[in-house]
Amino acid sequence: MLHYLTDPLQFTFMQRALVAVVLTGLACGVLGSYVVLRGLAFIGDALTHAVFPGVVIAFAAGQSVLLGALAVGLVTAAGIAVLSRGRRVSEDTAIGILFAAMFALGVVLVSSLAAYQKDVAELLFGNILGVSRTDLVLAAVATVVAVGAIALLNKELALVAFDREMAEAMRYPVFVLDLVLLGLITLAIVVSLRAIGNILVLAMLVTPAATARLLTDRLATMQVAAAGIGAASGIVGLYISFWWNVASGGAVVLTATAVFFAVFLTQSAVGGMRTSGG
Amino acid sequence: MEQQPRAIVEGLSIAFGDRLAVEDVSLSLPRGAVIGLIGPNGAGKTTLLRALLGTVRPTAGTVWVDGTSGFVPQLGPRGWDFPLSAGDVALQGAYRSAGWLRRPSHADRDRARTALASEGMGQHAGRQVGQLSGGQRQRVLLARALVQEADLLLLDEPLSGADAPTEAAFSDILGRLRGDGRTVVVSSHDLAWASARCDIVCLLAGRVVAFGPPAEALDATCLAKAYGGQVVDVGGVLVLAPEGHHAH
Repeated sequence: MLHYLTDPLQFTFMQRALVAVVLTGLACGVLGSYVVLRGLAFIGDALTHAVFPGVVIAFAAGQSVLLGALAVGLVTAAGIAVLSRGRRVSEDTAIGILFAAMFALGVVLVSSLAAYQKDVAELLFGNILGVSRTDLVLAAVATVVAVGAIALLNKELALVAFDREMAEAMRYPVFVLDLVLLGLITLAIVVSLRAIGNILVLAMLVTPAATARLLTDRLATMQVAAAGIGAASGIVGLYISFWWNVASGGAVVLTATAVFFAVFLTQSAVGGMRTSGG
Repeated sequence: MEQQPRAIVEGLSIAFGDRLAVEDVSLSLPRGAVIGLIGPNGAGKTTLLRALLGTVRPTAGTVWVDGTSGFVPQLGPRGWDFPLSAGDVALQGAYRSAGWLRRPSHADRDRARTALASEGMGQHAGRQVGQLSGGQRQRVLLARALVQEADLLLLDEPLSGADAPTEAAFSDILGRLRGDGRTVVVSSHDLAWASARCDIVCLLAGRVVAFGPPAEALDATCLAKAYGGQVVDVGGVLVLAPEGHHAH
């Protein structure tokens, strides 16, 4: 029985892949808590798509796709924040304009680089088998920065999320804190790119955090639980992908989704019993 | 001995676009006083509070405050389902004094607990804020403002929809703050409440219509001026006429 768990670990690519999905789970769980609590799913989705041209450019230039994604993601995050600051463009609209434009730019770039078209799938869906040492180091640094920043700024970010007017009244730089949060979400996305890919990152930002919210009424507990659920889903999903030979990103996301529904349905059943049983 | 005022507003006008929210307001707010800010919807009450708080810039005129300001927002936060307990929210009032990157101290936590307890909310400190009733939520926000330990406390309609225990706790706290030499500005629609509980009433309708003891500021002439004839005398008590009702 145990060999199911140990056999894959003989391969270097699996060792790296495991580290990559655990980092993804940690970073996305912690940042995803704010995505869920502030209703930023659309922004999260936008940022995951917006990093695409950065990935393509870096790939074509032979640079780390994570650095390319990070640069473009941060620029887009700032663009969204600045555009939606005025009253004439709502945040939704700003996001819609920028993320579609950035993704389109990525598509145009890919189509002009004929040699790389076969790699598009890998860029979009990640390639867990192709995680390099550099990727891992970058992902680890990004995770430490993202989680560390949340640990340090949690009380301020929570205040802004809970009661923006009060945060303003207390003279907090609310706009800067928003920018910082978007930047950190971008970091979490970058951490996830190799393991999960552009398209599916959103699930890792939203699903484990939503599951954790069902389990607790405390912010810090929710963040830790989301990180744990994310990392565990990553590990389980990766083993499933290894033994059943299916795409790793999809397997990880579906595992996280299964955990969500298991918790959701259990709670509904328990709640239903409480209601009917008195 | 004449005490220095807590806050002075001089020639304050604030415009949003081409609409003037408050016009040429001059006030001197004394220490140790509860000041009722009364006026119809759109009279500029919230704008004046925000000017005192410093989050809205004057278009013209000046606002000077001696000390720090605390605040209870009008509708309160939108995110009541946020995973924070009543104690966590009260503790937010100590965030500024705790400083960036630091966790609030034990002393801060004690202050938050004391503030909640002083409103009869001690046993609810651990409950998630979304599970509290409207009045209880209002008390949590007031506790948070108390934890700010501000010299000037600005409360934007804290009693709209408040239940009896909330109102009682609120009156209690106003008395203590007044005794400590703090200045509290409370915006409200409730004329009876303002007459009974405020030392000074500022009747606002864009401009200051009246400023003084409730008996003077809330007399029929001033109210008629501020509310444009919507005030009716019911058995010697002045009340605001309901929407669509016209006094004769």
